[in-house]
Amino acid sequence: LRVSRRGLFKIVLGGVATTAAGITAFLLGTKQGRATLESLVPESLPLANKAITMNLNGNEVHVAVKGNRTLLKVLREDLSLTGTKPGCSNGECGSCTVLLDGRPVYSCQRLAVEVDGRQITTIEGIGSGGTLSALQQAFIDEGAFQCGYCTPGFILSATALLRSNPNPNADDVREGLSGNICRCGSYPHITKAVLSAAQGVDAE
Amino acid sequence: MSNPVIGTSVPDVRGKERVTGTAQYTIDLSRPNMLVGSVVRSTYPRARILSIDTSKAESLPGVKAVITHKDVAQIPFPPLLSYDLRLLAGAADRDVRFVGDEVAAIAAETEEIADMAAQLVDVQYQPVPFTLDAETTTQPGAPDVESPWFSGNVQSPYSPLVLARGDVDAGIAEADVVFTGKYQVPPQAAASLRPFSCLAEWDGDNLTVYNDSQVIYVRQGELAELLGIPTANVRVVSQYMGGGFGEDNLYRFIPLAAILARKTSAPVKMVMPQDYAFEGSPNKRHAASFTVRLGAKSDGTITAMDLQATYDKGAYLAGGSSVPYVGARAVFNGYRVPNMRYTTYAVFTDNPPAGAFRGYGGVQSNFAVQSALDDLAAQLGMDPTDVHYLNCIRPDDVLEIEGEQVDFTKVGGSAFMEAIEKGMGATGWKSRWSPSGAASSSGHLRTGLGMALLTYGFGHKPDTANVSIYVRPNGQVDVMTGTADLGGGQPTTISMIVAEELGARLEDVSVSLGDTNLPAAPFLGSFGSRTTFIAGNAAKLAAADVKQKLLAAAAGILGTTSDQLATSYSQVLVNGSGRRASFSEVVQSLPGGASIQGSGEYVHSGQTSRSGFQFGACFAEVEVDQWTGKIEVKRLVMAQDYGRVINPRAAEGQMQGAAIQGLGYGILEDYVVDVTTAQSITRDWLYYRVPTITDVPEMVTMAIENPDPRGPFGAKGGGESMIICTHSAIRNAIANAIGVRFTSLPITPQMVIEALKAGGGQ
Repeated sequence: LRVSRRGLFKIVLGGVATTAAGITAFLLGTKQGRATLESLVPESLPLANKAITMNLNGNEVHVAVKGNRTLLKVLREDLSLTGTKPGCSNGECGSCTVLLDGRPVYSCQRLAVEVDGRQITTIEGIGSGGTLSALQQAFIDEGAFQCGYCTPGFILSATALLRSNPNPNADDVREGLSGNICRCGSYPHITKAVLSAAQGVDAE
Repeated sequence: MSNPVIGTSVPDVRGKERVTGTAQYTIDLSRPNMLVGSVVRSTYPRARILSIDTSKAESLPGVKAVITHKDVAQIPFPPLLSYDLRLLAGAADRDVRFVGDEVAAIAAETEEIADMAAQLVDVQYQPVPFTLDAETTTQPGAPDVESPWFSGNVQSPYSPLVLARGDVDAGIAEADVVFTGKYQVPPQAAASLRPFSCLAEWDGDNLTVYNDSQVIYVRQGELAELLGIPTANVRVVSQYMGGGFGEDNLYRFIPLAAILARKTSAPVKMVMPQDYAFEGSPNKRHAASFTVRLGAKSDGTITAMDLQATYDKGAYLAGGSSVPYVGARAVFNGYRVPNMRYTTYAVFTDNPPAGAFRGYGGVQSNFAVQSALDDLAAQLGMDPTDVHYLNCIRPDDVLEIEGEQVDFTKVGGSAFMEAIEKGMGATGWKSRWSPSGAASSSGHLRTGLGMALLTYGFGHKPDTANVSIYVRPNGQVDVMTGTADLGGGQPTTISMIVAEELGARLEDVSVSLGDTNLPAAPFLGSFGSRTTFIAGNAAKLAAADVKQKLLAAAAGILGTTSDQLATSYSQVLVNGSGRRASFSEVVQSLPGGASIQGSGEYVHSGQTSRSGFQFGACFAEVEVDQWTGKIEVKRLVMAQDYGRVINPRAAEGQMQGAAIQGLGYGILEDYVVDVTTAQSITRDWLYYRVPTITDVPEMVTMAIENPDPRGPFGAKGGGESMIICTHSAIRNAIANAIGVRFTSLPITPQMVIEALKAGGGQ
């Protein structure tokens, strides 16, 4: 059975697009604009900075964050790690995927305060010392991207997949990557790249 | 050539940047003391603005500037472009035209402040009647737009636009069977994941704008006009483009950012919210409706093809008349029918604006024609492949198209027959297809086979390309071209063409691109499958030029004449002797440590007979569950004429990606505008369902290589081809599976169930 995360979410919300859109509009109370996690927390709330510590790509990092800052924003804007890409900022597309304690998460859906004391891996933490991981190399060799905007998210999801299942078949790859969207439609080459990386070197 | 590059699968030359996250898209840029912009957008589809009060917004701490229509140039409608260049609504004769139209813009210290300030701008609207229906908007009494260039909401003077050959009425009169069908297609949002963004900064009177753009020289000219400064003072940079798919239209937030940056004397970054991709952005396919009339002999020979098309332009005129025009060309380039007529209207409504999206114009008309031909075949009791084979343009045809005699032998020949044969072979068509579905159908699961041909022009519009090449003293070959890297492998293709022509090692060639300070190639931008053909030709000419100069310099140090020399692997070799010199040694022999420079200019006529023809076919196999209505595309078989394949893996990626977007348009992507509010309700990736990896069927891609004598190494453009016909092939396969001939998209499970309940099908 192939059910994408988006598919599940839609089922939970009731399936019918018009109804679900109405729910969204009700929840957000706005017709337009940034429907982001941050916008749900009013700026007027007195949010003190909180000091958090995370293990980021193997380094201990201390950073002071406001309570409504997403992990995505803190990574990109406060820590200048722009390899993590903002897409929908609404938990739908997967372009901002990072690893939280080794598991892929949408960084737009995590408040930075949630990751205090935890381990984060971004695309900047994949490969070592200028050497590409086997998966990164396979993405290049198989042409597993076109514009490349979704690529960091795919590589993180695929890295997590290969760590938990070093010998996936094509269906495993599709299921493992069903939470990431590639609008260019590089999916067939992405599947090939992940399978070829699995057959080659360990994808660490 | 002793080190062949063309025809080998070469990895993307900027792949490492993409897989490591170091590729810098516009949204990744920042500057010290940078301000962040936001835009106030209309909540009404059509309204007069009575007043705009910006005082509350301006007094919010951290807000640096708020601009309204009073701060932007009131440029009158240019007669040729005929879209409204007044960036913000609010002047007496400048109403808002759709939900999401720009009213005011803000620059502030942070995104949060800029967004809050946008909420504080108090706009008083007087709503006026609006119209969303392209059919009724042209009727007397419909709310009319205010421009002198529009009349009755029909774009003038270009509507109706008629392309014709022969005598359609005579063709209908001699037909044994006359088929008439109506078809319609919805909008399709490009829905790129990267938010639209730009960064504008001034240095004195000079403006630099960073933007993910396919059309940097067009942007440059547009910014100069809107800001009232010389073109030479504007630089546009587009290094990496997240999700291109067509953006040759006015994006108002970009000049607004430049105006805010000038007003605040600070760099301004503007990131549009996610729903902009679905509403405010013209990066969408136009909805269109068609009436198709076909006359045919009982043996399937088509005697007349008559189409009437209405393209819903939405608000404004993004894409101009070129979209319906290209749609017409995508029909005429396909069939040898003696009597053809295509009448098209470009109509304004208060729907969100639409403009350019991959395969613009052609995706719409393809659905009408390919569905109609399939329906005609069913009416005649024929195999659809026979109808196509009989009527498609043949390799040696000479046909009148747009008043010109086009000799297909001079453009590489038509590849339709070969594409049909390849597609039939790979699907096992002859043994599996029957009028009532494929042989494997059983029970409530029905399998169907369907096919559609594609044709499309590439390199529409006259254009020029200039490329400069420097061979450096260290042997490095630097290629300068203003083309954009939108993910189709453009810099890799250019590198390969230069390496092949010059006899250089591919790893010695590097391409600088995406900057208006570089020579323009192509000047109009990287769209319409034109980069390989137009910029590629200029790159090949430049490589030939620099090679000649290199050989002349080498002749001196090798003690021979140029005609005795050849190049290979970045070395100059003397024929029939072991003597050689590396490119580096040759350049270093020049006085003063100079580089050897060459340049090439390619002038491209946009005329039909001299621009490009894309040919191909898509064969689809679907399985339809008659109990649940679920449609599963099991397999797509594609054959496409690339002329000559430069980079096979990249070419395969373009075919697959375009087909996946076409699959989305066929059965998944449902763009819905609420008729009471005129607001798009499919405004994110949850409700606007683009294909995920789980939607991808087995794909077979076959490249046909009929060299186009005018292309670099025979190559043609082909980045769009497969999106032209994939949705049509899937529609025809569904018709084959269940006997229901749908006339609109996307075909959803609900539509399947309702049609079967209503007694349609078998």
